[in-house]
Amino acid sequence: MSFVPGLGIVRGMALTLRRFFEPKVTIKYPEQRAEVAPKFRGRLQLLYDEWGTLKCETCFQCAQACPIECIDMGGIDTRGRYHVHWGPPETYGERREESALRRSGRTVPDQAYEHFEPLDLHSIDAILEEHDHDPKRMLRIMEDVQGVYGYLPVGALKRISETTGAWYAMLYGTASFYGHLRLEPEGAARGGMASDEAATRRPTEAAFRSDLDAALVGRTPGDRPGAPAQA
Amino acid sequence: MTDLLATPAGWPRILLARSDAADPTDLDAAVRAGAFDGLKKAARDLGATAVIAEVAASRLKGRGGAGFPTGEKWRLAAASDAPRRYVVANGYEADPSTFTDRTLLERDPFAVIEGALIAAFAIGAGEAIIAVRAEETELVRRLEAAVGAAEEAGFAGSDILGTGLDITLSIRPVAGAYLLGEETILLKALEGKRCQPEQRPPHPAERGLFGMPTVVQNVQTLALVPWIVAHGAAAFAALGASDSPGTVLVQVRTPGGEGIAEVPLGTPLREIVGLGGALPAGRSVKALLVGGPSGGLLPAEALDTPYEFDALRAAGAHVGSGSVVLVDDRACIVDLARLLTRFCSGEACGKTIPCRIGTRRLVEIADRAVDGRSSPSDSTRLLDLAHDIVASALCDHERLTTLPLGSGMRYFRSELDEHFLRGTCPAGVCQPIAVTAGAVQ
Amino acid sequence: MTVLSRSWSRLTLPGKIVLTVAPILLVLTVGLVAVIAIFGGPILDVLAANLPIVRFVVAATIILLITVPTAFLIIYMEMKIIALMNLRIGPERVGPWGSLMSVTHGLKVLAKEDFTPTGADTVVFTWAPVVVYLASVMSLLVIPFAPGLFGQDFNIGLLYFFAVSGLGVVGLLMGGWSSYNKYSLLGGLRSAAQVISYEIPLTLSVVGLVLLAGTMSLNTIVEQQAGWFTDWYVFQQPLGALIFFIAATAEANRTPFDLTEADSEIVAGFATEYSGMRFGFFFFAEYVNVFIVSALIVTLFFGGWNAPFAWPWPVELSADPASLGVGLLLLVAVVPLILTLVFATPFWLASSRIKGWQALVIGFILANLFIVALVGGWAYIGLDWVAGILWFLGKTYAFVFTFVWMRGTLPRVRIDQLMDFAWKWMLPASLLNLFVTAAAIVVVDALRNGR
Repeated sequence: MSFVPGLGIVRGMALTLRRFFEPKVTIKYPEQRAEVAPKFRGRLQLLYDEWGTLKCETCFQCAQACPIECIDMGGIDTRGRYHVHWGPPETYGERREESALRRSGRTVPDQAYEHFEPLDLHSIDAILEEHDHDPKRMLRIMEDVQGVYGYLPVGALKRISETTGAWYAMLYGTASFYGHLRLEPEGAARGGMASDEAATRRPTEAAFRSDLDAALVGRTPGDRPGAPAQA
Repeated sequence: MTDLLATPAGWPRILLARSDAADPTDLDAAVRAGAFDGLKKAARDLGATAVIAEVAASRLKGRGGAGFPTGEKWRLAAASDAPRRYVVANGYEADPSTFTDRTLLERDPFAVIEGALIAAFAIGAGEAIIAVRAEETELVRRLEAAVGAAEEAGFAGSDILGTGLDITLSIRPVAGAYLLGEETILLKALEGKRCQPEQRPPHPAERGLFGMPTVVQNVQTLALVPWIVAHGAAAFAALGASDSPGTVLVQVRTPGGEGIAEVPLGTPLREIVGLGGALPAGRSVKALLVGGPSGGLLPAEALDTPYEFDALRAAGAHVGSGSVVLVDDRACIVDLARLLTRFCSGEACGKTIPCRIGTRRLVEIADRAVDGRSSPSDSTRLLDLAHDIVASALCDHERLTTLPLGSGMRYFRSELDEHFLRGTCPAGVCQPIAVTAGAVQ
Repeated sequence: MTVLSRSWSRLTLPGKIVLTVAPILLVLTVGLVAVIAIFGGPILDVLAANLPIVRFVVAATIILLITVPTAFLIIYMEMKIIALMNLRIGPERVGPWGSLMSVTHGLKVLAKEDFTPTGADTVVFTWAPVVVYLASVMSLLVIPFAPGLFGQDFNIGLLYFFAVSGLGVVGLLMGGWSSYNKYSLLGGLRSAAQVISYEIPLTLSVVGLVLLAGTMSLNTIVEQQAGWFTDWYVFQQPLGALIFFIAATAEANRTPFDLTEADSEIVAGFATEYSGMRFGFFFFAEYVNVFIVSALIVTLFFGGWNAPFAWPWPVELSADPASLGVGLLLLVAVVPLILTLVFATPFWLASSRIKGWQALVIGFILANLFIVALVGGWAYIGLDWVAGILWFLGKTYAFVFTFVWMRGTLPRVRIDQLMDFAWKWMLPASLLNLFVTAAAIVVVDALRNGR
């Protein structure tokens, strides 16, 4: 009697009845909370790093994403005033500037309140004047500034941002895109690559050109691609 | 500047007509040599519709690589009813090893400026933009000087040549990557948006910069336009090949020499390669890399292929950035194809899966081949993958990335099979390599 | 005057409300009492003279009033039981164990925007929910809740029931048609097709029962099932009961036959364009339907308000509390205290951790429970309708639980499977049942007469 009409229904209903009496799996948040691994990134709390600094960039993503708008963000802006900001970051450009400012030109973890050396800004003003304060000429402005100081100091970028109206984030992005612009004094971070000025402007393209040169003459066994060929 | 190669006397010199000027930014010297004749004729005698008709009748094809008929593009843009139209001259030469566009802009900026102005006049655009690489600061400076001179002379700006038209000409340095050579991406860069390609249709000629009809042309195309307008469509159509008239700047690279030449379309590859100088003794031609980093590898038997759009496409290569590289028997095709595919894959914007992932898989297949670690199904997988990428591609970058390996499979099958099936390299080049950081990040 | 206005402004808002409403209530109460006192007598006489009408009006009112709480209760049951079967918890924040959740649902439905779609036939659109709801409510009229507790006892009660619940189809069609929405129309037609297809097996399956019972009066049918549970008709008409159960599930649009209201189907079928209280009507009507259908199953096949066992000895509780006189007062005052102490003492003695007052509280609660149990038991034994209604509701809600249980378990059928099942299986089965019953009756009668 393997096929009894209705047996499937009965067995199904027996199962649900059994489930009716079984303990439930719901976790009654917020009285009970689910256990999460220490590396879980979805925790609703701000974390501190090993130096005791708050790991928050005030990027506003959390405030913007929160569907019930329960996240506020506050802090001291670049002029020492305390604000509570809430809302899409575009309306609080100042906050974003400060965050980008804190993180520019450094390869070590956040050390929030690091002292900046005083800077002579006259040359920057002169350069900007020469370029008519046009943000579209940002690359050349930066090259000129680097010519004056040897690198792009944070203060200089701030100055450029303030006077041209271009966003600091844009300046930072431009400076980091080109290989010949430095955000730190020479010799400070990595060992300098002695190479052609124009070649390092676009490292990817320079690598392609040298690879092509090597491939056309045939690499001798033992060469790695990217190394100059020994023809 | 890259050197110019000597060309046969019978070849027309349009693009490089004023290339030996002492100061390319000297407007008076250029005008004496014939600059802005076309603009004068267009503005005073012909009128916009007639200009478009001339360009269409000349069968001029775009030199940006795809070879789209220029007259049709202009017609399309002029026919739309939008409040503004734009002309964008694509001087951003994406190919890192080719300098043809930049050479043209350095040696004869007025040709490009004039071409852009004629185009703007023809389609009724109020603004013409010349996009160049931002890091070419010297070039940008020179171009701005040239534009300034043109404006002072009344060829650009307001009330051009007394006709009452206003066409603003501006030089826009753009920073980006390889993809900026594609027209929709270039427009996005000009708008300040994230650079990823858009679906076409609608073509930029219908809806481009800021939603307005935009004609995007390579600077070489625009530099040919004044000659067409000044000398007539029939004269132009008589040059070059019958369905691809005119000339193009080709960067030739051979072991014997390297340089740029203005080549009439339809010239056999043999002649073009011959411009670069003879091969060193003991070396033979193995392949021709035609079209830049995403070009096709043609065998020595293809030396008689005419250098023009349709013939090259049929052969499995393309005009592209105008680069012809002679590969001799020292090189390994697989190694070369791997390098090219690696570069192109690394330059992918990541918008679509066939490009982002598919080209990566091609690179992996090539890597395994170079290492001698190919699996038996790699060659079929390569063909299938290339076919699928081409079929599902959003923009041409993906399709062209498959060209090096695809043409390799077509013409150099035996050499590739040596790598795939037996793990050996006939040219003695490929060695097992360590995993490196390189073009593909 | 200023003193008044100053004191008024010192009040909080609730204070202001109370102070405004209280005098009005007072006046109204006094007025009402006065009216009753003055006119009460004559009114009562008139009412007494027309007792049947009064009884009917009261019954109808009560029935109308109980449908909504019943619907609330069944909605809550459904949410909670299905959740528990899904290993979830269900509503548990709104009231104790989430019991006020359905009230919240009701309020939400009231608060929604009430609109008529453009192009809809407004009159029909407005009346469709009313018709559906009325059809359900009116059929409650004949269901016997307890001996003496029924709306009206027609001798064609069952026929009335089927006739009136058939009116619901009209409401469905009205809703589907007037919505000016082809999908509503489709859903409405499907609902209508489902309901009318299953009405035939539904009615045919009880014809056998009617033959056996010899009457269509529901009250009489229940009375015939008095005694032990073996007297219930389910044992005499098992196939009929089964068919009736399945057909009733389909009539009530319950799983597995609920494709007309499943969200993955045509949204809400005929009710797609309804919102706010109009949809609330359909919503409540459905749950009242569940109750009615369960009640009918219980009435017809499972003994109605009869207990499953017969009370073996006759019980005559003729205690008249009033006869105790003053003793009653003493009883009421003293007994709870004594009981509290009696129940508290063991707890206080047993564990030293329980303090005196805690023991007293426990004792008080237990005393209350005890008294309630006693009184309840007395009511149960003494008043037949208490027992009746308890058993009736218990059995009905057991069936409601079964319906909810089926909803939580079973997948739903397709429309073609549904129609197949109705016409190819249920109809022949119910006809078979009818013929077999009729044949059996004839044979048994013949045998009996022949003897």
